[in-house]
Amino acid sequence: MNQASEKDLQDVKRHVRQHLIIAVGLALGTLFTLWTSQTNFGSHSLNIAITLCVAAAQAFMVAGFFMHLLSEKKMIYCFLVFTAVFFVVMMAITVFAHMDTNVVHYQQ
Amino acid sequence: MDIPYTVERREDTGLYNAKLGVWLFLASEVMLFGALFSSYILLRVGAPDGTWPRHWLDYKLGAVNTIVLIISSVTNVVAWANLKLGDFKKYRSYQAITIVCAFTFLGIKSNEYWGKFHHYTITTKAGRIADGHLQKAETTADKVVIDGHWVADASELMDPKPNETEQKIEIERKDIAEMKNYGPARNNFTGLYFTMTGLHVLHIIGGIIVIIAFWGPLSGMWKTEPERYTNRVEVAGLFWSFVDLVWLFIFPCFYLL
Repeated sequence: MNQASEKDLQDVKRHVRQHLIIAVGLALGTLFTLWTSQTNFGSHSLNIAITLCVAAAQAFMVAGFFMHLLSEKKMIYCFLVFTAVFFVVMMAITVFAHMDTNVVHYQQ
Repeated sequence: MDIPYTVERREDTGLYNAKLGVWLFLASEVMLFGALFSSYILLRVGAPDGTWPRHWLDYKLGAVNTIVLIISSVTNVVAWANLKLGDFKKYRSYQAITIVCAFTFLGIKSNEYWGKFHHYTITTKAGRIADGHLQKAETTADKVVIDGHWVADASELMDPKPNETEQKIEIERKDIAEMKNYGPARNNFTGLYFTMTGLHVLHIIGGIIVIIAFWGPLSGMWKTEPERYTNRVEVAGLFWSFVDLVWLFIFPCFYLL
């Protein structure tokens, strides 16, 4: 463990370089998010969509590279698929709740 | 009793147990923050036009905090990579930067909280509205002093103009009908803001405690069980990156949109 081979050393150096590039990408993403939020794209909904897409791309970079999710074991992907399903269901309930306009007004 | 699979991988999962455990924990965290984000969406899209505040938070501070968290995530991963290479000294140096970044984040966040708790909207009995930051040193039992401006209509407060000229406003306490700060009880926006960022701050504090513990008091394990120690640092790092990931969504939702 303490005596890392030359190959390990090169591997880690490559990973460190990769992480630095990702960090620069994340910082640029943050600046881009600031720009999109200040720019008028015609509708506020479009601004929200673009800003959230950039945030999702940044989240992908953090999960994929910093958390090594791109090269993880199958078992972890299984957990995350289940989590994603429950998450989507929860968000769908939110959307359905918002779409439910069947409000009954009772006269007093 | 020895805890199994702290270093070697289980054949069925291909992972050491702590890693499996932390990913399960992170999955539950996704649902926790997901529930809060879904509340945010529901309240936000359900808010009538003009009632959801805009520009209440300083986006520059939010952006600085985002960059600070990104730096801390990188140094955290690089610190772990150095442990993998057996370079404990470099690990400690990089992790020290992570700790400094974490405290910087908390410093900026507490400054923002301080600002919100000292920012008041005062409605006088005559119906006039003043908005600004409380000047505690000049406020007495008889009068309240704020640095702010008079507002023609309460709806103006929902999207304040940038660069509004501030002036010192003195109001006699007997003339005040209502005095409300920008704390969690003000409206749905501040309620969600304090709940979500507060929960996030608790995660940051938890992360710092663990990182400092491994950096200092528990670092003796490096001499006795280096692989187990490296795995512990990796698991803490996964949690730390997740905390960064959550902030990447909190920042645009509250500061920009």
